[in-house]
Amino acid sequence: MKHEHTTPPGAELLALVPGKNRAIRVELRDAGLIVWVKIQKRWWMGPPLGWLLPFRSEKGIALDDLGREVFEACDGQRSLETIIEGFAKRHKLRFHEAKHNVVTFVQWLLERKIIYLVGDEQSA
Amino acid sequence: MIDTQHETIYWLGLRLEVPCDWQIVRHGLSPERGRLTFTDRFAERLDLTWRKVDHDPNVELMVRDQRMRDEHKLSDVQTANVRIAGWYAYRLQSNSETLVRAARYDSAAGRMLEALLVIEPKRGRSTKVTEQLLNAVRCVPTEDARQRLRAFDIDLRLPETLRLCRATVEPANVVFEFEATDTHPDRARLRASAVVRRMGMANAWYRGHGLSLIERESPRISFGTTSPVVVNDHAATYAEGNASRARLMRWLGRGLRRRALLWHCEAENAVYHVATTSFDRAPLHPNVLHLMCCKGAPQ
Repeated sequence: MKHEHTTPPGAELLALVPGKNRAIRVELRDAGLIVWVKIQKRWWMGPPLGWLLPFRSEKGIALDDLGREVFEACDGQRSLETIIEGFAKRHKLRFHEAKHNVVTFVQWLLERKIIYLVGDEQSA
Repeated sequence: MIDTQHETIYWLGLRLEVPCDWQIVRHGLSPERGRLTFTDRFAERLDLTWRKVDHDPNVELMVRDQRMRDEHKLSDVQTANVRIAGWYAYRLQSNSETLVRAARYDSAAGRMLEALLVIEPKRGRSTKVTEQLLNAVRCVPTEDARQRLRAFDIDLRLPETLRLCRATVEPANVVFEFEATDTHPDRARLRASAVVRRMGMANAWYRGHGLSLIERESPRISFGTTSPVVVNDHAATYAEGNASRARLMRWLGRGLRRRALLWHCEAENAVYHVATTSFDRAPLHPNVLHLMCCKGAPQ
């Protein structure tokens, strides 16, 4: 009887609410949804080099149907748990399978500053 | 079944009924010694371990010793005996959660079973449900049911000649690999093996090209024979090809043959792939694994 018990912090993660970054621009194309994210200008991108070279001011990220589904669910109202439940129901997955897919993708969106996450003080 | 919110798990001769929202996060592959750990959405809830023992252990004494050790180690918890049919158990109660440690010896299977249940007062299960859970843990008595495997949304009946040797579990992708049991007297069966794969979220990627998917799963094999068949009321693709490259081996009757079966289950939004490899003189057909889908498995 050598069990060691640990409680993973799952509840706090699932209570977080993702929302879209207001600075992004969304464009619908045949290939799917393109999300345009503003690029922070570096000091050397300004004049005089900026006059000569047209540095882009934003970068586009294409989302496939599954990505679009999760992205559109990030409306600042629904918690991660609700989004995962909906995703699992639509694709007939178990909650844990959907959780892995959705959380991985939400992390990817966060790294690219497309969305933000809010939670209460304890979860933050 | 406890109620409709529970599902039955069969794993290496063990039968459990657990809530539907629980998921196995650790699994052992040996019937001699192993573990199954379940989590709910938030945390680990049940840790079940088993090991084969040669003689009747004094389970009551073992549990009493463990309880004394826990009381000595954890000063802020209260312990109390729990009476659950067939189990020697006690409860460890702290402010945040309650643990139930339980043990029993299954004399028919010669297995010692130990369980650790974690009950969180806020959103956890009641003590009554805990008792129901432990009551539902059984070593499967009949030889027939011992070959049943039901976990990770895969439900099948293994022939006695095969045993589970590897299980790869990823989200929407579960692969069980089986090899021949070395105890079988027919040596021709010793090279037999089988693979069962369940691929979820089929509507996102599957376009109905069954044969190309079979070929992708077994890239070195040219499938000479293909035919449409019906499996569990689903249209399926069956393919057969030589797994041995050397023609001499095939002429000598020692050629290995690969047989594959693939179908799309719309109700589960999943694609099932079953492939077997065996000698020509002892053929192993994918149908012998009795893989069920659409929750239509016989109880």
